[in-house]
Amino acid sequence: MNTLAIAYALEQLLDAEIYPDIMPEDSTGPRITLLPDVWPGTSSRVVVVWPRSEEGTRTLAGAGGADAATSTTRRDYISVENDHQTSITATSTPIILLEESARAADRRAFAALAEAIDWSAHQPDELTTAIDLALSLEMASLAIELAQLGGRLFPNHERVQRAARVLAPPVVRAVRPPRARGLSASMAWFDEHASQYRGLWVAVREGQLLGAAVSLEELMPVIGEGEDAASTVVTRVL
Amino acid sequence: MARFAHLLISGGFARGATRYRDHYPGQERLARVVLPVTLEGRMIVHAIVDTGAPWCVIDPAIARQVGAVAHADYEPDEKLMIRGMLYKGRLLRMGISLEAEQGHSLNIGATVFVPMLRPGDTWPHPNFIGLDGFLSRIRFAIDPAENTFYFGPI
Repeated sequence: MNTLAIAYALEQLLDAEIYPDIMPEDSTGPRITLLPDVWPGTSSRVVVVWPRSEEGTRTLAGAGGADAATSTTRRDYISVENDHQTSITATSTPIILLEESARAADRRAFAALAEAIDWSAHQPDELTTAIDLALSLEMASLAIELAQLGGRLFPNHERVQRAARVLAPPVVRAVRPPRARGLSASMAWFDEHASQYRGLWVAVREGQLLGAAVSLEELMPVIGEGEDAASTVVTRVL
Repeated sequence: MARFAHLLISGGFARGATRYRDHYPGQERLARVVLPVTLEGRMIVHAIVDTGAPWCVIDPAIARQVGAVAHADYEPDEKLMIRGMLYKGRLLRMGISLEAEQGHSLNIGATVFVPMLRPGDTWPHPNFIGLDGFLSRIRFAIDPAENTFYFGPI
């Protein structure tokens, strides 16, 4: 990840000028403290003050190196003279930003974040969360890209591997002579007669009606198997 | 023979051509490009060409009958927006063939969304051929004058 990009985003989010508008009047309200000279990847703590939590307070060690780099997304609180502070690691914050941009349906921000994050420094479940959020935002290309990346990064994670198998670019498997018998005649039958079978499943082969039924299961015996089935046009008339 | 079949097929743009329908069965008032496609080599169904849809969408009853539900799948934790409504479902790989009336048919390994419905519910929408899951890996052209859909591999 571009560490400058993360730091810049954090500074924007944590701009103290923003917070006075949402600070409560009581003394335990949120307060911002930014550690000086903090760059993600070197010192991994950014301190953000959040309202009081029932979970109690403690602090994460700063500059935790590998421990901080592998921490999951969580918030811990420190109590300092009745004030409460939250410490969020630099590696967990991008995921929070990703989730927030998805909630806001901000596709540009979501894409920029997802593409900038160093996913090798995150847990595979965080990547699948990003994939699912991309899918929910109808960002199919990004979902495919993340899934393929995940397939390379996490070869032993089943869910990631499923995503990589399914969310792959389409592949041309074969170019072959047509096999369906009487396809034109069957399609023409639907043009002429479909309106008489609204709400029903209809099966037609070589221009001849095989049957109509309420459920597709009921039609399967007349559809048959093999070449017969491959030449049968089946549709539920809406 | 479709007017541009020779030009597009011999020119290498397309391998096949088929006549498309202007509407989906039962939706005569909605103008669409509707093709016959074969699923898993087992059944031909109508499907709407929809470049605005990311994935192919197949009626779960059909997916079950062609055996696609046994395929390895991926179930997102989030619902997906399909035709303006949110649906839980699964994404899976399925072989979908564009059936040619001239030239050659094309079989594509596609990503398909199969919605999960409550027991007793029926899928109220057509089948769709979408962009990222299918159309993005083929060349295709439409001639509205002859209702012809030309297609070929990239």
